[in-house]
Amino acid sequence: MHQMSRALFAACLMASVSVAQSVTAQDSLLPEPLERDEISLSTPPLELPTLQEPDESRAPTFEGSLLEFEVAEDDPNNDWQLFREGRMAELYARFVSRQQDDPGWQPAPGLLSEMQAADTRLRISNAVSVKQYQLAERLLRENPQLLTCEHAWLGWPAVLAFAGVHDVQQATALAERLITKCNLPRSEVRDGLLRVANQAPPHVADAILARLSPALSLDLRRAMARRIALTRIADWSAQQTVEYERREREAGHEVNVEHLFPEIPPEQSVLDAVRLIESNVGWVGSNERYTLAWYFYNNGQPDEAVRYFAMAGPSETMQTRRDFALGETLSRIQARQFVEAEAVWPRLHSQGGPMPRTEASYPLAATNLVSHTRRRRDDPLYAGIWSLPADARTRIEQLARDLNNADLFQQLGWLEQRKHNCGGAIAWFEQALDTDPQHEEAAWGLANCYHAENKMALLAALRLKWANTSFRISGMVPDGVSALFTLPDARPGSFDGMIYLPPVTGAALKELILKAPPPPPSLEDADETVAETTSTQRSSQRRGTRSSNSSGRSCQPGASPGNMSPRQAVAHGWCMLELNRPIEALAAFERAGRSSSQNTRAEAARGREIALQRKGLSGAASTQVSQPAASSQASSGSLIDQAVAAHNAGQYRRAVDLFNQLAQQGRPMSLGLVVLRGWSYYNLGQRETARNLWRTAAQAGSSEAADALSKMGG
Amino acid sequence: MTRFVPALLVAALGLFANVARAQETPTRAADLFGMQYRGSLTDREWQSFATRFMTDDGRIKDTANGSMTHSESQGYGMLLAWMAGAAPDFERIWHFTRTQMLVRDDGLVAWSWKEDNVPHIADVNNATDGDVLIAYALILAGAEWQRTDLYASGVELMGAVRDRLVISHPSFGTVIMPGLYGFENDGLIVNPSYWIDEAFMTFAVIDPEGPWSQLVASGDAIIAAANRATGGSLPPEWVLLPAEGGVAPAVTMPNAFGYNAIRVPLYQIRAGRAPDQGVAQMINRAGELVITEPNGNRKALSGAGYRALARLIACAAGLAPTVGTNNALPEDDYYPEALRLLAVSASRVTLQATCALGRE
Repeated sequence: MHQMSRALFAACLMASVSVAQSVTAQDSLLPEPLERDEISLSTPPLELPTLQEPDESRAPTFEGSLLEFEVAEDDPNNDWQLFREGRMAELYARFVSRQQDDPGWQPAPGLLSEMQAADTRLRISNAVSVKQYQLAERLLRENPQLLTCEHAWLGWPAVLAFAGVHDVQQATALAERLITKCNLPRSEVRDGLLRVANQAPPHVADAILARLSPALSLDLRRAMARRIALTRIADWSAQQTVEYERREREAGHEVNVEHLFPEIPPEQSVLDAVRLIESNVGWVGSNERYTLAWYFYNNGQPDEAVRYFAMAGPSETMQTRRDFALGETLSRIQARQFVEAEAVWPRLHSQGGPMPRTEASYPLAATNLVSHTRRRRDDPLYAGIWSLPADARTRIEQLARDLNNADLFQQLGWLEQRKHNCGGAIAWFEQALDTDPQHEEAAWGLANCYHAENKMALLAALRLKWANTSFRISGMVPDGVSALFTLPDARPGSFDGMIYLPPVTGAALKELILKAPPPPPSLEDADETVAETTSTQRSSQRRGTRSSNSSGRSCQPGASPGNMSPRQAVAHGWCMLELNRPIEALAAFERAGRSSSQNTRAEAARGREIALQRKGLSGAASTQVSQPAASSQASSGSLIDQAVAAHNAGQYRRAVDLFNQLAQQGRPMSLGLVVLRGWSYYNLGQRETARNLWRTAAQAGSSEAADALSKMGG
Repeated sequence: MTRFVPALLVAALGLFANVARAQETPTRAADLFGMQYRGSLTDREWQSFATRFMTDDGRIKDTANGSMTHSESQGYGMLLAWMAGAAPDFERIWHFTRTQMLVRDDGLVAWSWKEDNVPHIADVNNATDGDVLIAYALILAGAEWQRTDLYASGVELMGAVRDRLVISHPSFGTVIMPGLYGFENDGLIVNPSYWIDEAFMTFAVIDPEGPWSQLVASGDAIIAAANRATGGSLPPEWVLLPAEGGVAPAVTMPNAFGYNAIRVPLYQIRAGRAPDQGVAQMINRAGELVITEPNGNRKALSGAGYRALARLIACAAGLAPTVGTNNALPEDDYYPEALRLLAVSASRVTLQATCALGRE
């Protein structure tokens, strides 16, 4: 009996759907009855709750009694009251409970069907709110009776659902019916249309606007047109980002700013949209200015972008002003207005904004400023920006100390050196080396200053220390003028890599500002004629053609890498590989992998990978380290080379792609490579991924991964 | 096998537009594997859970995570309510689930719902364990209570899981993805705790041509391979399956034997099997479950829920009995309490002779 009552309840649930359809189909604003002229508003007083209907733009009229009396639990009026309050889950629970107690119990006539209709409306609305338009459209087609003027709050989500599945005809027809047949308040029409303009594809919104124009006031037509224009511009910016990322993947490296803009020339409709917004910009709000500003930024028009970003006045909220300040900073960097870019955040701070150092884009601006200040004052591209304002300098020095940033320290050192203040420069270079003992650029600056200050004993000690790791330092001639001593002589273009500003949309912004600034470029590397190669090139030399550099080195099997410096360990590792002693090579590279120098770690990782491969090879393995035996190994070896080289060159996206390719080949990576992969992600601002990689490597015993985690704070 | 199909069930099936193919061959309720858990929790046990974690509108709050709601919590809520015979509360939870979270185009459940978010769905992606739990609970409730609407919804969701989340892997055969997106990175990333075998074995009765039996087998193989790869230490809960075979930690996910992983032996026991051999690593001398954190540190879980699960696992594995309370403590959060009730019900059903946990 009990079972049967549940079955009856179930049947009632099922049947109520068709009952609801038959009762209310004549009221629908959807498919079949769409062309009906009359719309009955005689639906029972069942206006639904607001709490669970996030998309409702109109508060429903409360249709229950304003008097409250205690109502018996089993009173059907109580159920209707619960329904009106939207407490549907409780009602369903009550029904089940009552049927458990009384198998013959039935809900009040019509109530169950109304509950189901309300549920479906709610589900449609919720689906649209997360852009699940297919589900919403399907439910609407299956239940056209649900959408009546009585439930016009669902009308705009329904329009969006049809727009989302590109059913322009249905979307426009429904919007028209809502406006012409439902006698909606003007504010509700306005809100609905603007919502459609915000969220629907612009071509659908355009069609709706065109169809409705005769029925709309001029103000409303203009408002909707502007909103559609803004959506169109924002969509273009988003496409720009996607296209940029695609091109970057294809190019295999980060794309310099000069080659970036514009990726996709804006279509005429976008240009028209920009013109429309610009023509009203005097009185439109910050949202319009913000959208326009990013458009210009993404379109390679930084001066225009700056103009709009600079419009955030004191009347805006601080969050808005922060958003604008970020855009202004990036735009001014793009425009090569480095002094002004650095000053944006301090200016906002003076007006009650955040501390500059807490903003991710400030170090980017500071690094660009201080590095470009090193340029020659007669460089036509940078005329006028060579000097560093005193207040900016104070701020940047403080930033360097706050961040304990070796790169900034050494940049400040070069700044002093350019001013022939080697005393001051030495202090900065030493601070850089205290922070990162393997910072070769800082050591090179230090060597220059020791020479300039005639501190030959210190210079000699420095040369000795860097004997195996820096040709330019160890090759310095203490008693004569060497080409190596020529002060940096930058050529225009050699700094191109410094400015890395991808296109920005709101969504991409967060990731962008997390991106660490690229390492400062070495002027000397670009200009020196003495062959100081990148670490990867050095690796290749040592792997492939045995260079004369190594001939004088001790290459004794059995030596303990634990007593070697990281660079000595690297050199020893390559020696052992040449002797086809991969196990000893592995130990040496493991030692080198604990270096604090990124380059040394990278080289160690690469060597370790080869050593691991060699360990797995047969006795007939090639003794030529650079030519692994199997083609797949050759392939992965090549990928490793490329990945490490990309990483060393600061092309972190390319490095990540190559590491991913390597992983997709299914070849196990050495711990060192996993760590390096982590650094690549880290430098792209994907710190959580980096952290996960390091955790994995640390758990497998990598001390360098543990170090990295420790530096990262866990 | 005699096939018994409630008349009403058959009659009602035709009303649904998107009836999965498996629905055409419904079987006798008692044949469903999960049906053995019917009545395996008391009303008092359920009320203890519901009072603390269920809202009036049927939302199960994860109290350890800002009282957010996810498809897993809804699925556990529905399953526990069904096991306790709490049909009204089941109805509440299902109402919330279908109107608020079953809103994806593909028929899967959006996994994350937050009260303060606008819209409330904080992430429209799915989480497969939640989908499976909800489908499983719907099928059991629909079959037992002869509620065709519940049954059909469960079968439909099961079909969505089968069609979208179950894929073929060159080494492990049929496997299940943890979610529709985001888990193919250097291979396929899986989570063994998403292998809810009792649900798969139930689905296999309804959908005998489906992949469910193969899934049970592949889950065992993956767990065994992960244990072998870690050489006896606790394996990571997120496992990478490279195309050419073997297993590896999924580097893009936390590398830990964490809160997810402790469900693996629970599900094995609930599916009527001895827990995996590696479980001895999971329980310390104090009788506490042990997890590893991403930094490698081991951490003992001392709450009542975790204690109960530890006792169940130790008993089922033939380890020394552990001590501890079986009763929920007020400070227990949603997750350990849900696991405690699953453990209690398992002790009554699959290990009734040896491992009584649920004395009230």
